[in-house]
Amino acid sequence: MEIAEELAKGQRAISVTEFFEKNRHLLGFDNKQKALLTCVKEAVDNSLDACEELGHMQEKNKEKVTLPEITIDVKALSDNYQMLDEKQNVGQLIVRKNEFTVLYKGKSESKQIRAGKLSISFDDVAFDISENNDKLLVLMNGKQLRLKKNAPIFLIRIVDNGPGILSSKIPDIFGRMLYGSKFQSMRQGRGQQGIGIHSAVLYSQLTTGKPAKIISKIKSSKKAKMMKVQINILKNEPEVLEESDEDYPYESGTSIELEIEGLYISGNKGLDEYIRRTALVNPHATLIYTNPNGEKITYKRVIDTLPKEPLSIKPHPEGLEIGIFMRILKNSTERTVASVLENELSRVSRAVAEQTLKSAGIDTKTKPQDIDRVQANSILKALQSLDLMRPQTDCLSPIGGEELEKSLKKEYSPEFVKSVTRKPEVYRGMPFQIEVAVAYGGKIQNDKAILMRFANKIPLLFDSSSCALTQSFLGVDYARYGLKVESKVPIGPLVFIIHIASVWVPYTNESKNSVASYPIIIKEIKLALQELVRNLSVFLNRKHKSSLFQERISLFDKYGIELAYSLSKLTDIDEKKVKAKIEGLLEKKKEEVKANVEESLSKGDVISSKIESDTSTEEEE
Amino acid sequence: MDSKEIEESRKKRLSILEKLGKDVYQQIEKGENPYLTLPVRGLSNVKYDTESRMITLGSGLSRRYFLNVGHVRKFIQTMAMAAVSRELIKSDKHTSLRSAFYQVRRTIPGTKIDVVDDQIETNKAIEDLELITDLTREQLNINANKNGAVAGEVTIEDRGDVIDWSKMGSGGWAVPSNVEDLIFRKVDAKFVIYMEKATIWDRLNEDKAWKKLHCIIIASQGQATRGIRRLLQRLSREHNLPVYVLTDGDIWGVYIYSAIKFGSIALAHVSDKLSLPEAKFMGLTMEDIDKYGLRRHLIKFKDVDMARIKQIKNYDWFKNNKKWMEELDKMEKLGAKVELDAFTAKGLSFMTETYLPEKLKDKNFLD
Repeated sequence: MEIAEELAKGQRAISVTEFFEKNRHLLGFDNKQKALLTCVKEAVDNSLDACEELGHMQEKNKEKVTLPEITIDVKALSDNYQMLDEKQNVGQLIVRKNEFTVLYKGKSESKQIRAGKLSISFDDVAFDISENNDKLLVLMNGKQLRLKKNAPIFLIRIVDNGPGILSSKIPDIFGRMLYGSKFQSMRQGRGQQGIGIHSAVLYSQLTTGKPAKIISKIKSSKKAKMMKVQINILKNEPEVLEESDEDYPYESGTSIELEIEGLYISGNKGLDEYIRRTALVNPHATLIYTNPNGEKITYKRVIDTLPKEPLSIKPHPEGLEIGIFMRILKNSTERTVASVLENELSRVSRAVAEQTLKSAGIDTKTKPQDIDRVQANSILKALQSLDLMRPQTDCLSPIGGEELEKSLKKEYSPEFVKSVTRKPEVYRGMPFQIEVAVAYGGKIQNDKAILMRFANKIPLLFDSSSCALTQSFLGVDYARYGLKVESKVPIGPLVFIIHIASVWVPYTNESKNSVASYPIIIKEIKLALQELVRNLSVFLNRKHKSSLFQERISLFDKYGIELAYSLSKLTDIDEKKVKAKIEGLLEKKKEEVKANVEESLSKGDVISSKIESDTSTEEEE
Repeated sequence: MDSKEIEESRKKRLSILEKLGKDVYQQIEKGENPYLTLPVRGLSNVKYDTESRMITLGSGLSRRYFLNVGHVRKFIQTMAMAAVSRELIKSDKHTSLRSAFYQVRRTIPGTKIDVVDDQIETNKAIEDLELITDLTREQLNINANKNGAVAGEVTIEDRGDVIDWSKMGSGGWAVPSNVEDLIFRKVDAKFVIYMEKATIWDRLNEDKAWKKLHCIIIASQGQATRGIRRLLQRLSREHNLPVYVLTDGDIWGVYIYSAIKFGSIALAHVSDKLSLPEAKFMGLTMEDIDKYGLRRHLIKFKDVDMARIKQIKNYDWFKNNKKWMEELDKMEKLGAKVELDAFTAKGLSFMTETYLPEKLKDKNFLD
């Protein structure tokens, strides 16, 4: 083997772990709370995508369609300590019931405690641990260490009824960083810019030293395959630590178990809310969630059909970046550059391809691998200056207006619910589609509207202020539609949903929580929201009027009591008798009163004797 | 009015109110939406009648229905006030505007609705009741506070007490809100001077101007109250006394004169009982400023004064009066006012000894 190649391998291994360490924040592991969420999210996204793929395959084969059913268990497991000597952090100690794990310089070792004592050795050190009356004592090479309590360890387990994974593929999928290419597919999917499940596996390994436990069953095999997988950080290769056959609760599917350091919080940025929102935009899925407090929450599916299958499309020149274009050229199996343009890009005909190459001064028969960056750039520029047809937009899979409404109805039993779905549009050559929905009242308790943001059916919980969805939401003049507003947000028990579906969601960064502000995206959201709020405003007006109506109808009964009193005083007729007569009158004139109240409401009359303004400037007494 | 007439008036007023109640009750019995009929109020239904020289209500009538969202509250307030008034007349008691408010201020049982929220509502209800029944507030036994002061060579009888207006000391006799039942025993005075300022009245009373000039001097503070206007009208109608209005030389003085003479917009419905077309203006005119050398006492008008001049020049009852329009033009041109108090600079008794006798001798009044 070449020395350079040898070096390259080493460089790559270092870069993978370094990459992870340096980019934790980009990958969604910058704090313990977000890390817990990210791990669950990666697993759930994978499961949903896999289940849908299975369903779509079954549809094509005219088989009975399996709808997603995903079980999410999150348990707080154990205590977690940092071990320190006088100067620094030397390692980590994780204590489960009677199993002790020591993490030291990227390695981990677990042992059961016997008679209150155990000892764990690495190459150059030995740790002696003893437990006495719940007090822990740790010695490193005979020297006592200080213990500092860390974030607790969680066990997360996600079980799905998807297609399962071939056992030969399990190690690579879960145990190799950057497996697969994020630029491979131009297709709407949850894991679009996927940092991927292997990041979660690596995070688990780095924080608890535990491998991922995968159980997967495919339909054709009797038993499920269980594998404990970890990543060999130096080689960036999967390692299977344990393997066996097991039973599985479904005909097919995959289950993953990870042990991670994390922080469980409730509220709008917590795990419970993330699951709730995921259920809201996946009305065809059943989610069975048990949170660390042991509360089991089941979100049953509200519709029995799968969403439309998203289709892959070829990149459109308008939004194509030079790097991706180079990659397409490099990996292409086409023999000439002209064929690449024609067959691997969307909306480029043979004639256009040849003409473009000619004007760029490049031979149409050039091998695609021979095109250099400068040439590629001039081809791209030439293509982008043409007025090409817009990309096809039938490749998207929105949630669906009716489905969103059903979901909101089930979750909140609201008084009012409405959705608006825009036609697909295109930003920089990328098709996208906006869906919005609103629910009012019912179980919604908040005083101010809550905005729930989604991209490709994934809830976005963080980085709200930099997000185009938030900006568009705050850019609507709700007061114009008669809503009460406080610092740009409408007041009332309201939940708004904004969903962007796209083959390529333009996130502002790798943590995928905020959508970039393309003017066309903002415009589409605003138009959708405006239509939504018009409908909401009609409902609110009607609601307001009907409560005013009831109030005003009852006024006559109330003022009748007073009239009976005055009339009795004025005429010496018995008050009860007058009252009965007035009640009779009100009964007789019911329809007339209703008509009068309706008229007064439509004219906006007020009930007051102070409506007349005094025309005189003089003051009497 | 003797006591027999007083008793008859009481019975008549009671029956008017009782009929109002019975009419409403009958409408209810018949299953009709009960209503009250009353003249439309406000500038749109107010006219200046050139013949009687009074501001009067037009013929516009409106109906106020019980079963109408916009009317119901006023309807029951008017009925509540009618019931209060009937009780008062029945027991021959009087109440003030303020306590009338308290007598109908209650929460309808079993509801959160108050019959009235503030006195503005009851004051309006009382005015409406006046319009519906054609009875004045005083005839409904609801009075305002007594106000103002009178002195002069007149003896009256008020609820059995005999009062000599020439023996009232420095304070004078306070004019009650209701002067309907006063009986004039002896009237030696030859005319009446009404003035807008109590301080001027004090000055003239100290000079015994009423004795020297054989007149009655009456003052309130600013706009004349209903009681004083009715008293002026009775002295004019029943004893043929000319009435002169003495005010500062400014637009507000002119309007005080105007309200006494022609009536006011707000009280157009009682113009015939309050206004006094024969009244004449003896206040400071623009001419007097030069005649009595008051230029150095001028006080500059503010914007609000100038605006009011323009407004008043537009009233029907000034528009066609040549002399008054000339006076108002001069006032507008001068852009300043002079107060009666300025005369004291010429000597404390200058008004009693010079200004008033000269005005009377020359009959130098604006009409």
